[in-house]
This record gives sequence, structure tokens and C-alpha cells, in this order.
Amino acid sequence: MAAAETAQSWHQIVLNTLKRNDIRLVPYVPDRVLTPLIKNLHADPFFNVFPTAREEEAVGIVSGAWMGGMRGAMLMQTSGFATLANVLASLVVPSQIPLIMFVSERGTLGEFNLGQSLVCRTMRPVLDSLAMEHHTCTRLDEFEFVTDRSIKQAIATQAPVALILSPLLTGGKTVDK
Amino acid sequence: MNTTSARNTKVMNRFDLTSRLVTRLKNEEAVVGGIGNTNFDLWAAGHRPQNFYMLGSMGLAFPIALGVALAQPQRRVIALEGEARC
Repeated sequence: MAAAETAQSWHQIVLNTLKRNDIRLVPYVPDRVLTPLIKNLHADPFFNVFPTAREEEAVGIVSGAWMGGMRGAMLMQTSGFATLANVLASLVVPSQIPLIMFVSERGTLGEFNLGQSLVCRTMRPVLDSLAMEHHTCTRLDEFEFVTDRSIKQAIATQAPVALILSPLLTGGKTVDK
Repeated sequence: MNTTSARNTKVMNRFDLTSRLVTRLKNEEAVVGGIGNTNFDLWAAGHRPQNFYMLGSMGLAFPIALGVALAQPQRRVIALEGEARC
């Protein structure tokens, strides 16, 4: 089928959608699932993309950039999101920063690490308790719509959004023998 | 035996330092103040619209300042941080 042959991968959709929405700044904390996206972002001179020591550092950088007129998004894993409750509640939400977060979802659908499976359960309750917009992305055919609309809404309403990349979308992390 | 430590230096005063900094800002420099007393001093030294007073995101004054600098490389950006800040 022609449509299937020309379908973009999830990470190509992220890159193209960021570019279309003029989001140039992409700090991240490395993650196995996100690696193809991170490599492609580094290879594209449109983006200013670099790793940070901690997820909250990336939040601070994107927040400052927004104050200076530049749009940014950040990439992390579920366990990294779990470190962000303070900075979301004290910086991003009250300062109305349209922080766009891509979270590679660990802890579900075949997780082997007990710590990941437990910390995963804190993510949506934290997002809900701050009344933050979030979507769990599971389907490739919906992904561009969800990503593009969510970015536009975040900027138009000056509110953060978390896009949770399910293993159903990305394949997740597997342990190869 | 004289146990009094001899020192010929003055202890730095944070508010004095902040005031001196603010009086020297002439080019719409961005100033990010860390939480607590660092911010209180920045405000007390004379509010400017180019100041950002961080509320509670401990340790992020420098990352915020870096973000501003990335967005506006032509603008000088200053971040103030301290310890025992609250």
C-alpha cells in the first residue's frame, strides 16, 4: 500500500512537527528509545539540541528561552519526569511557560525494572494534580495530529503539555539476548 | 596566647553587592534572581522589568539565564544565586 510505504516513523514526525512550529531549542536527557530522534535532531542544523545533566535543568533552559522569545521542547524518560514536580509547580505553571515535553514511557507493557514500573505510576497523577494537559500517544496514524495540535495549543494558551510516547508507538525498550 | 583570628578583609554584604550591580546596569541586561534572599535583595535594589524573580525552582537561576542567553545572544544576562537562600 502506497500510504504505508510513505508513512513517517514516530521520530520523523516529532522532528518535522517541531520544525514546522519553529521549535529550535531541544535540551534532553538521553534515553534508549529516544536515540533515533536525538541523533536526527543533532544532524539537523535547524535545531539547537544538547544534553543536560538533569531534566529540571532542561526545564529551566526552555523557560528562560521562552522569556527571551525562543520556543523549546524537551525530551526525557518517565523516571526523569518524576524529578520535575517542584519545577513544574513553581516555575512552569505559575509563569505560564508553554513547555513541550516528550516523555518516553517506561514502566509499562513489559517493563523488567521494578523501579521503573513503580515510578511510572506517579506520572499521570502529578500531571493531573497540576491540571496539565497530557496525551498518551499510542498510534502512528494519530501521532502527527496530536503532536502538532498540542504544540499549537501550548503556545496559544501559554500552558505546558506532556506527550507520553507509549511503547505501542515506539516499540519501547527491550532487552536483547 | 592570642586566639583571635586576624583578618584584614571585610565580609561581603549581599545587598550591597546587589545594589552595586543594579546601579551599573545600563543596557537592559536581563537579571535572574535565585529564590529567597537573593530575590528579596534584587527587588529591594530597585525593580526593573528585565528582572525575573524565581519563585521556587531551586537551583535553576543559571539554567533560566542560559535559556535567555540562547534566545537573545546580543543581550547580557546575569544570574544571582546564593546558598541558604530561604
